[in-house]
Order: sequence, then C-alpha cells, then structure tokens
Amino acid sequence: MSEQRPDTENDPRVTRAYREAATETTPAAIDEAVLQQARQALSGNGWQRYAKSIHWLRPMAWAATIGLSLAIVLELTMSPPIETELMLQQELPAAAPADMPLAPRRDADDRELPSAATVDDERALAPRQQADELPKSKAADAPALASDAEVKQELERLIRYREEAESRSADRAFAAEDVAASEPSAAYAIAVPCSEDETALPESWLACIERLDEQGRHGDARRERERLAKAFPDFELRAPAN
Amino acid sequence: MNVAETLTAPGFELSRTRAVAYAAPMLEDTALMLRYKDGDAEAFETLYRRHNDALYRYLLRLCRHRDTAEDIFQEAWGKIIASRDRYRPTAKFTTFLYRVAHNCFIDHVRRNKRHANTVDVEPDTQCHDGELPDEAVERNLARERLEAALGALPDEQRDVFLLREEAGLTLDEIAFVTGSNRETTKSRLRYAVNKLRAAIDEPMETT
Repeated sequence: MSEQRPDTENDPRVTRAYREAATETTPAAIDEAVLQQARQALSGNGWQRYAKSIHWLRPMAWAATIGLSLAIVLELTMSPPIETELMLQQELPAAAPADMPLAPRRDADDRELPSAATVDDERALAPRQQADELPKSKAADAPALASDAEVKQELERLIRYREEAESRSADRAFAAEDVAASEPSAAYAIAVPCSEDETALPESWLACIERLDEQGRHGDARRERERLAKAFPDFELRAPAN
Repeated sequence: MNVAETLTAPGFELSRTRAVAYAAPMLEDTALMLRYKDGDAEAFETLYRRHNDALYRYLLRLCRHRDTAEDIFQEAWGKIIASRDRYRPTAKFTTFLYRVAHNCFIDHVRRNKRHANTVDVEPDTQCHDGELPDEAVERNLARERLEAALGALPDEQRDVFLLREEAGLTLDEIAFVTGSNRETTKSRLRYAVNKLRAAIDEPMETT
C-alpha cells in the first residue's frame, strides 16, 4: 500500500541542507522598485475609484438627453397652430405702435375689413410693396391700394387661422389659447384705428375720426369716414351739415 | 469573530487598541491583499516582506540565471499588483503568488531557452559569524554538491522541490501551481528528494 510506505517526499537532511545553502535575499533595489510600483498603482487608483463612484453619471446623462429630446419633439408636434399664427403675425408690418388700442373681434358677417393700413404702416410696407407686382399705370396712391389688398388677404388668412385655432383649442386646454385668440385682434388693430366701442355710435366714431385728423393720420381718418358712411348712411348724410 | 474581537472578548484583558496592534502581524495574507486592494499600501509591503525572499530564491534556482530570475520576480509582483482589483480570496495567497510566478517562468522559457544552458548563481563562500574555516569549507562543499544536484534535476522535479521547500506548499497546492495532478507531483518530488539525498550522502572525495 502506498500509504504505508515511508514518506520519501520529505527528508529532513535534504531540507536542512537546502536551508543552509539557500540564503539569498532579494536585492534592495528590486524591493524598492516593487514597492514603488505598488504605491504608484494605488496613487493611480484614486481616479479609478472616483470614476467608479460616478459610474451612474453616464446613463443618467443619456436618460436626460433622451427625455429632453422627447419633450422638445412633443412640444413641437402639439403646438403647430400657435407657431403658425405667431409666424403670420411676424409677417405683418412691425411698425404697429405698441400703444395702439386693440380692436375687439367682430363677427365676420357684419364686419367690413379695413381698407388700408396707416400712413406709417404704408411707409413701413413700402419695401415689400416694391417687390410686389404693381400696375405701373396707377397713380401715386397705387402702392397704398396694393397695400390695402395685401392687408386684406392677410387679415382673411388670420381670420381663417383664428377659426381653426378656436376649433382646436376647444379640445385642448392650452394656456396659449388667449394668445392665439388675440393674435388676429392685434393684427386687426393695425388696420382699424377706431375701437369697437368708438364705432358703436356714429358720434363717437366721428370723434375718433377727428382725433385721427388732429394727430395727422389723415389716411386713417379718410378710411374711417368711408367706413362710417357705409355703416351709418344716415349719419353720413348728416355729417356734412355738422 | 476576528482576532481583535476575540482578544477583547470577556476573559481577555487586552484593550481594543492593544488587541488590534497585537492582531495586526497575525493578519493572513489574503486579508493583507484585500486591504491593499482597498488602498492600503502598508498592507502590501507587509505581504511583500513575507514572501519576497522565498519567491526570489525559488526563481533564482528555477531559472539558474540571476538577471532572468530578477526580471521574472518583478514581472510576477507586477501582475499581482495589477490584478489586485480582480483578486478573490478563493485560495491561499501563497498558491496564487507562486502560480503567477510559475506561469511567468513558463512564458519566459517559451520565449527563449537561455535559462537551460547557463548557470549564473554565485555561491556564498564567505565565513559566517563564529564559523571556523574548516566548517565553512565543509559547508561550501555540501552546498556545491546540493546546488549541482539541484541544477542537474529536470525542470519539473526542481520546480516541485522548490515549491515544497520555499513556498511550503502541499502536494495538492503544488499540483495546482504546476498544472499537473497530485500523483505526478508526488512522483516528481520523490525523485527529486532521492537524488538530492544521494548527492548529500556522496563521499567528499568523489565530488
């Protein structure tokens, strides 16, 4: 049996002889080099530990980026009417004075679209009117007439957009509904110097026209007189008498 | 319960501070390696001081070339340092250390065959303290005979003998380090010891 044989793998004399012979020690330079390497590995380990401690930062950055992108896409897809109306408003003359009273919205049936913008607006629209195809044979007021037609078209478009926006805003509870509703009124006010309150009665309307004359806005005054004459023919007949 | 907790348990009079100081040298190699893994450089130095000389002698006699042994020595410790984050105390640290060194030696043998043909280990011929000149001569002769017999061993037998003597590994651990089975390891060790015993017992005149 192998278990009963003498343990020939161990011989104390051989071990003792080897121990007496093997007395070498590691050179100090190698000791220092290895220990230095171990210390350097630990000093470089600081950044690795820090990187491990913030390992969640990368996925969180990805999640934030994706979430932000989704939010932007949703915002863009859910608010096209507002953007369209804002763009249309920017296309209108920017010369509308900020303190100009906003004309309240009127029903499309009994409303007569304004025929022209103010004199100042005409000046502001002059470069754009030059770009349009205007009949060369017209008189000096041809640019103003072209401007009137353009303003009419834009107002008609705004009215259509307003109606569409109202039909859509009924389904959605957007806070921008008021803004969307006010956009056509703001554009409308550009071409309607007299407010609805002023045009409710012919006397107040006439007072508004006189005020426009006093302000030197004779173009507006002339257009308002024409509107007044159409809206109140009887009063128009009485007006010269006054 | 660790050593420090044991020493502060009822019946022991050591304070906590003294118990920790007393237990520190008794820390096992795996605990030191884990502490080094956690950033304790002194733990590694303690670990290194425990094993550096034995590993150096193992590689010195395995390679039989001092420069090669020193290169492999540093390479092995470098791998230990580099692999600290992946270290798992599944086996004795000594087994892990010598397996890494053994593999470095095998890689070196595969790269070149220089170690097989050169012997560059100078014997220690100086007299030790209190030693008579005749005793020094006798010791040197015995050493030369042992070194010659050790050098004459096949690499596998010399490897097994050195792992037994320097690392103090068991047959199973040696088999694990060398990648062989237990019976093969046992046979190699028996042959190595018999040859070395014969060399020691050899009459002085024949050397």
